[in-house]
Amino acid sequence: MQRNFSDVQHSTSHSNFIDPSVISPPGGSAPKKPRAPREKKVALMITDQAASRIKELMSDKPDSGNIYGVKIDVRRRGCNGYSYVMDYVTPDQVTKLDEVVEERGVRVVIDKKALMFVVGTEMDFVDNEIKSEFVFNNPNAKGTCGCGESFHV
Amino acid sequence: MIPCRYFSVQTQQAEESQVHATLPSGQSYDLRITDKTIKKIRSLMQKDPSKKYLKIFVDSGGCSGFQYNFKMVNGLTEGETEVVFKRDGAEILVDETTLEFIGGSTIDFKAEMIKQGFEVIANPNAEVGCSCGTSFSLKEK
Repeated sequence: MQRNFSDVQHSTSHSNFIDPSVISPPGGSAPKKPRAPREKKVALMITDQAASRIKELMSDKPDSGNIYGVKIDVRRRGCNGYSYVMDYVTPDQVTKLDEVVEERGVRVVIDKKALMFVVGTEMDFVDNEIKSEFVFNNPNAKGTCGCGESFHV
Repeated sequence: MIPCRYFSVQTQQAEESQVHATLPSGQSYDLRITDKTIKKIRSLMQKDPSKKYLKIFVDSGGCSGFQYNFKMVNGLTEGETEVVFKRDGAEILVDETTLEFIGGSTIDFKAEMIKQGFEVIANPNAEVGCSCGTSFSLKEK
Protein backbone atom coordinates (compact mmCIF):
# COMPACT_ATOMS: atom_id res chain seq x y z
CA MET A 1 0.00 0.00 0.00
CA GLN A 2 2.72 2.28 0.96
CA ARG A 3 4.27 1.68 -2.41
CA ASN A 4 1.09 2.43 -4.34
CA PHE A 5 0.64 5.62 -2.49
CA SER A 6 4.08 6.83 -3.32
CA ASP A 7 3.46 6.01 -6.98
CA VAL A 8 0.37 8.13 -7.01
CA GLN A 9 2.17 10.90 -5.26
CA HIS A 10 4.88 10.75 -7.81
CA SER A 11 2.63 10.83 -10.83
CA THR A 12 0.67 13.79 -9.52
CA SER A 13 3.74 15.74 -8.67
CA HIS A 14 5.11 14.93 -12.11
CA SER A 15 2.02 16.13 -13.89
CA ASN A 16 2.33 19.40 -12.02
CA PHE A 17 5.73 19.88 -13.49
CA ILE A 18 4.78 19.27 -17.10
CA ASP A 19 5.40 22.36 -19.11
CA PRO A 20 2.19 23.23 -21.00
CA SER A 21 4.25 23.93 -24.10
CA VAL A 22 5.23 20.27 -24.32
CA ILE A 23 1.63 19.09 -24.54
CA SER A 24 0.52 21.84 -26.88
CA PRO A 25 -1.01 20.49 -30.10
CA PRO A 26 1.38 19.69 -32.94
CA GLY A 27 1.93 22.61 -35.21
CA GLY A 28 1.41 25.04 -32.37
CA SER A 29 4.33 27.27 -31.67
CA ALA A 30 5.95 26.21 -28.44
CA PRO A 31 7.49 29.13 -26.62
CA LYS A 32 11.25 28.71 -26.85
CA LYS A 33 13.53 29.23 -23.95
CA PRO A 34 15.60 32.31 -24.66
CA ARG A 35 19.08 31.02 -25.35
CA ALA A 36 22.15 33.19 -25.14
CA PRO A 37 23.46 33.60 -28.67
CA ARG A 38 26.63 31.61 -29.17
CA GLU A 39 29.62 33.84 -29.49
CA LYS A 40 30.57 34.20 -33.12
CA LYS A 41 33.91 32.76 -34.03
CA VAL A 42 36.28 35.35 -35.43
CA ALA A 43 36.66 34.51 -39.09
CA LEU A 44 40.06 36.08 -39.51
CA MET A 45 42.63 37.61 -37.23
CA ILE A 46 44.71 40.36 -38.73
CA THR A 47 48.11 41.17 -37.29
CA ASP A 48 49.46 44.71 -37.06
CA GLN A 49 51.89 44.04 -39.88
CA ALA A 50 49.17 42.75 -42.16
CA ALA A 51 46.91 45.67 -41.29
CA SER A 52 49.55 48.26 -42.05
CA ARG A 53 50.34 46.54 -45.34
CA ILE A 54 46.68 46.53 -46.32
CA LYS A 55 46.48 50.23 -45.48
CA GLU A 56 49.49 50.77 -47.69
CA LEU A 57 47.88 48.80 -50.50
CA MET A 58 44.71 50.82 -50.17
CA SER A 59 46.51 54.12 -50.33
CA ASP A 60 48.60 52.95 -53.31
CA LYS A 61 45.49 52.34 -55.32
CA PRO A 62 44.73 55.49 -57.32
CA ASP A 63 40.93 55.17 -57.06
CA SER A 64 40.95 54.06 -53.45
CA GLY A 65 37.71 55.90 -52.78
CA ASN A 66 35.89 53.33 -54.85
CA ILE A 67 37.50 50.35 -53.13
CA TYR A 68 35.73 48.60 -50.29
CA GLY A 69 38.65 46.54 -49.07
CA VAL A 70 40.67 43.50 -49.97
CA LYS A 71 39.16 40.14 -50.62
CA ILE A 72 40.53 36.73 -49.74
CA ASP A 73 39.54 33.67 -51.67
CA VAL A 74 40.89 30.18 -52.14
CA ARG A 75 41.51 28.49 -55.45
CA ARG A 76 41.90 24.83 -56.11
CA ARG A 77 45.44 24.93 -57.31
CA GLY A 78 48.95 24.45 -56.05
CA CYS A 79 50.57 21.16 -55.22
CA ASN A 80 48.68 20.71 -51.99
CA GLY A 81 45.06 21.40 -52.76
CA TYR A 82 44.24 25.04 -52.23
CA SER A 83 46.02 28.31 -52.35
CA TYR A 84 45.03 31.80 -51.30
CA VAL A 85 44.11 34.57 -53.68
CA MET A 86 43.88 38.25 -52.82
CA ASP A 87 42.49 41.18 -54.69
CA TYR A 88 40.79 44.54 -54.26
CA VAL A 89 37.01 44.62 -54.11
CA THR A 90 34.52 47.34 -54.86
CA PRO A 91 31.37 47.61 -52.72
CA ASP A 92 29.13 46.06 -55.38
CA GLN A 93 31.31 42.96 -55.57
CA VAL A 94 30.61 42.07 -51.96
CA THR A 95 27.63 39.76 -51.61
CA LYS A 96 25.45 39.19 -48.57
CA LEU A 97 27.04 35.85 -47.74
CA ASP A 98 30.61 37.09 -47.80
CA GLU A 99 32.15 37.64 -44.41
CA VAL A 100 33.46 41.10 -43.72
CA VAL A 101 36.12 41.45 -41.06
CA GLU A 102 36.92 44.93 -39.81
CA GLU A 103 39.89 45.05 -37.55
CA ARG A 104 42.68 47.50 -36.87
CA GLY A 105 41.22 49.98 -39.30
CA VAL A 106 41.20 47.71 -42.33
CA ARG A 107 38.47 45.83 -44.07
CA VAL A 108 38.97 42.29 -45.30
CA VAL A 109 36.25 40.44 -47.15
CA ILE A 110 36.29 36.65 -47.12
CA ASP A 111 34.59 35.02 -50.03
CA LYS A 112 31.68 32.80 -49.00
CA LYS A 113 33.30 29.80 -50.68
CA ALA A 114 36.55 30.38 -48.84
CA LEU A 115 35.01 31.01 -45.44
CA MET A 116 34.88 27.39 -44.29
CA PHE A 117 38.53 26.90 -45.19
CA VAL A 118 39.71 30.10 -43.63
CA VAL A 119 37.75 30.39 -40.35
CA GLY A 120 40.09 31.07 -37.43
CA THR A 121 43.08 31.87 -39.60
CA GLU A 122 45.65 34.45 -38.61
CA MET A 123 46.67 36.72 -41.42
CA ASP A 124 50.21 38.01 -41.11
CA PHE A 125 52.58 39.92 -43.35
CA VAL A 126 56.22 38.98 -43.52
CA ASP A 127 58.62 41.45 -45.04
CA ASN A 128 62.30 40.92 -45.57
CA GLU A 129 64.60 42.63 -48.04
CA ILE A 130 64.14 40.07 -50.81
CA LYS A 131 60.50 39.22 -50.56
CA SER A 132 57.39 40.32 -48.82
CA GLU A 133 54.26 38.27 -48.58
CA PHE A 134 51.06 37.66 -46.69
CA VAL A 135 51.23 34.53 -44.57
CA PHE A 136 48.14 32.68 -43.44
CA ASN A 137 48.42 30.61 -40.28
CA ASN A 138 45.47 28.36 -40.81
CA PRO A 139 44.43 26.02 -38.00
CA ASN A 140 42.21 24.07 -40.42
CA ALA A 141 45.08 23.10 -42.68
CA LYS A 142 46.23 19.54 -42.18
CA GLY A 143 49.30 20.05 -44.28
CA THR A 144 50.99 22.57 -46.48
CA CYS A 145 53.26 22.53 -49.47
CA GLY A 146 56.98 22.90 -48.85
CA CYS A 147 56.87 26.45 -50.06
CA GLY A 148 53.90 27.25 -47.82
CA GLU A 149 51.80 28.54 -50.64
CA SER A 150 49.19 25.83 -50.81
CA PHE A 151 47.45 23.74 -48.15
CA HIS A 152 44.89 20.99 -47.71
CA VAL A 153 42.14 20.60 -45.16
CA MET B 1 92.93 37.19 -66.97
CA ILE B 2 90.34 38.25 -64.44
CA PRO B 3 89.72 35.54 -61.90
CA CYS B 4 86.17 34.57 -61.07
CA ARG B 5 84.35 37.38 -62.85
CA TYR B 6 83.04 37.46 -66.35
CA PHE B 7 80.79 40.15 -67.68
CA SER B 8 79.40 40.21 -71.08
CA VAL B 9 77.33 41.44 -73.95
CA GLN B 10 73.70 42.20 -73.60
CA THR B 11 70.93 42.26 -76.12
CA GLN B 12 68.14 44.64 -75.29
CA GLN B 13 64.60 43.48 -75.80
CA ALA B 14 61.28 44.99 -74.91
CA GLU B 15 61.05 44.41 -71.17
CA GLU B 16 63.97 42.16 -70.56
CA SER B 17 67.42 41.68 -71.90
CA GLN B 18 69.68 38.75 -72.32
CA VAL B 19 73.03 38.75 -70.59
CA HIS B 20 75.66 36.33 -71.76
CA ALA B 21 78.70 35.02 -69.93
CA THR B 22 81.47 32.62 -70.91
CA LEU B 23 83.38 30.72 -68.27
CA PRO B 24 87.08 29.88 -68.59
CA SER B 25 86.10 26.28 -69.17
CA GLY B 26 84.50 27.37 -72.40
CA GLN B 27 80.95 26.83 -71.14
CA SER B 28 78.72 29.74 -71.88
CA TYR B 29 75.47 30.71 -70.20
CA ASP B 30 72.68 33.17 -70.76
CA LEU B 31 70.34 34.76 -68.31
CA ARG B 32 67.42 36.95 -69.20
CA ILE B 33 66.86 39.72 -66.71
CA THR B 34 63.67 41.70 -66.66
CA ASP B 35 63.43 45.43 -66.13
CA LYS B 36 61.48 44.92 -62.94
CA THR B 37 64.34 42.87 -61.53
CA ILE B 38 66.80 45.63 -62.32
CA LYS B 39 64.58 48.22 -60.75
CA LYS B 40 64.18 46.21 -57.58
CA ILE B 41 67.90 45.47 -57.23
CA ARG B 42 68.62 49.16 -57.64
CA SER B 43 66.17 50.14 -54.96
CA LEU B 44 67.61 47.49 -52.64
CA MET B 45 71.09 48.90 -53.32
CA GLN B 46 69.89 52.35 -52.38
CA LYS B 47 68.41 51.08 -49.16
CA ASP B 48 71.59 49.31 -48.13
CA PRO B 49 74.58 50.46 -50.20
CA SER B 50 76.88 47.88 -48.60
CA LYS B 51 75.06 45.07 -50.36
CA LYS B 52 75.47 45.46 -54.07
CA TYR B 53 74.73 42.07 -55.56
CA LEU B 54 71.70 39.90 -55.84
CA LYS B 55 72.91 36.37 -55.35
CA ILE B 56 70.93 33.50 -56.75
CA PHE B 57 71.61 30.02 -55.47
CA VAL B 58 69.94 26.67 -55.66
CA ASP B 59 69.41 24.57 -52.55
CA SER B 60 67.92 21.18 -52.07
CA GLY B 61 64.49 21.45 -50.55
CA GLY B 62 60.95 22.35 -51.42
CA CYS B 63 58.40 19.90 -52.68
CA SER B 64 60.11 19.15 -55.98
CA GLY B 65 63.69 18.53 -54.94
CA PHE B 66 65.42 21.84 -55.50
CA GLN B 67 64.53 25.38 -54.70
CA TYR B 68 65.66 28.82 -55.73
CA ASN B 69 67.04 31.19 -53.14
CA PHE B 70 67.84 34.86 -53.34
CA LYS B 71 69.77 37.18 -51.10
CA MET B 72 71.61 40.46 -51.27
CA VAL B 73 75.34 40.12 -50.64
CA ASN B 74 78.21 42.56 -50.38
CA GLY B 75 80.72 40.75 -52.54
CA LEU B 76 82.02 37.59 -54.08
CA THR B 77 82.46 34.51 -51.97
CA GLU B 78 86.04 33.37 -51.43
CA GLY B 79 86.96 30.14 -53.14
CA GLU B 80 83.89 29.97 -55.34
CA THR B 81 83.67 30.55 -59.03
CA GLU B 82 80.98 33.13 -59.42
CA VAL B 83 79.71 34.85 -62.48
CA VAL B 84 78.51 38.43 -62.44
CA PHE B 85 75.68 39.28 -64.78
CA LYS B 86 75.63 43.02 -65.16
CA ARG B 87 72.90 45.10 -66.65
CA ASP B 88 72.05 48.78 -66.28
CA GLY B 89 73.92 49.17 -63.03
CA ALA B 90 72.48 46.10 -61.38
CA GLU B 91 74.57 43.04 -60.76
CA ILE B 92 73.45 39.48 -60.29
CA LEU B 93 75.83 36.95 -58.84
CA VAL B 94 75.48 33.28 -59.70
CA ASP B 95 77.89 30.54 -58.73
CA GLU B 96 78.97 27.96 -61.26
CA THR B 97 76.93 25.07 -59.85
CA THR B 98 73.79 27.14 -59.72
CA LEU B 99 74.40 28.33 -63.25
CA GLU B 100 74.24 24.76 -64.48
CA PHE B 101 70.76 24.57 -62.99
CA ILE B 102 69.40 27.91 -64.11
CA GLY B 103 71.32 28.79 -67.30
CA GLY B 104 68.92 30.10 -69.92
CA SER B 105 66.25 31.15 -67.41
CA THR B 106 64.61 34.48 -66.92
CA ILE B 107 65.01 36.31 -63.63
CA ASP B 108 61.94 38.28 -62.77
CA PHE B 109 60.59 40.29 -59.90
CA LYS B 110 56.96 39.54 -59.39
CA ALA B 111 54.81 42.02 -57.52
CA GLU B 112 51.36 40.77 -56.64
CA MET B 113 49.14 41.83 -53.82
CA ILE B 114 49.68 38.64 -51.89
CA LYS B 115 53.39 38.24 -52.55
CA GLN B 116 56.31 40.16 -53.91
CA GLY B 117 59.61 38.54 -54.65
CA PHE B 118 62.24 37.47 -57.15
CA GLU B 119 61.54 34.47 -59.32
CA VAL B 120 63.34 32.25 -61.76
CA ILE B 121 60.97 31.60 -64.61
CA ALA B 122 61.12 29.71 -67.89
CA ASN B 123 63.99 27.53 -66.74
CA PRO B 124 64.90 25.26 -69.64
CA ASN B 125 66.61 22.77 -67.30
CA ALA B 126 63.65 22.24 -65.02
CA GLU B 127 60.49 20.26 -65.24
CA VAL B 128 57.49 22.32 -64.33
CA GLY B 129 57.83 21.85 -60.61
CA CYS B 130 55.80 23.18 -57.78
CA SER B 131 53.11 25.66 -58.66
CA CYS B 132 54.53 28.18 -56.23
CA GLY B 133 57.53 28.55 -58.53
CA THR B 134 60.20 28.35 -55.86
CA SER B 135 60.77 24.63 -56.16
CA PHE B 136 61.63 22.56 -59.19
CA SER B 137 63.04 19.24 -60.33
CA LEU B 138 65.56 18.70 -63.09
CA LYS B 139 64.63 17.46 -66.51
CA GLU B 140 65.98 14.04 -67.30
CA LYS B 141 68.61 14.28 -69.93
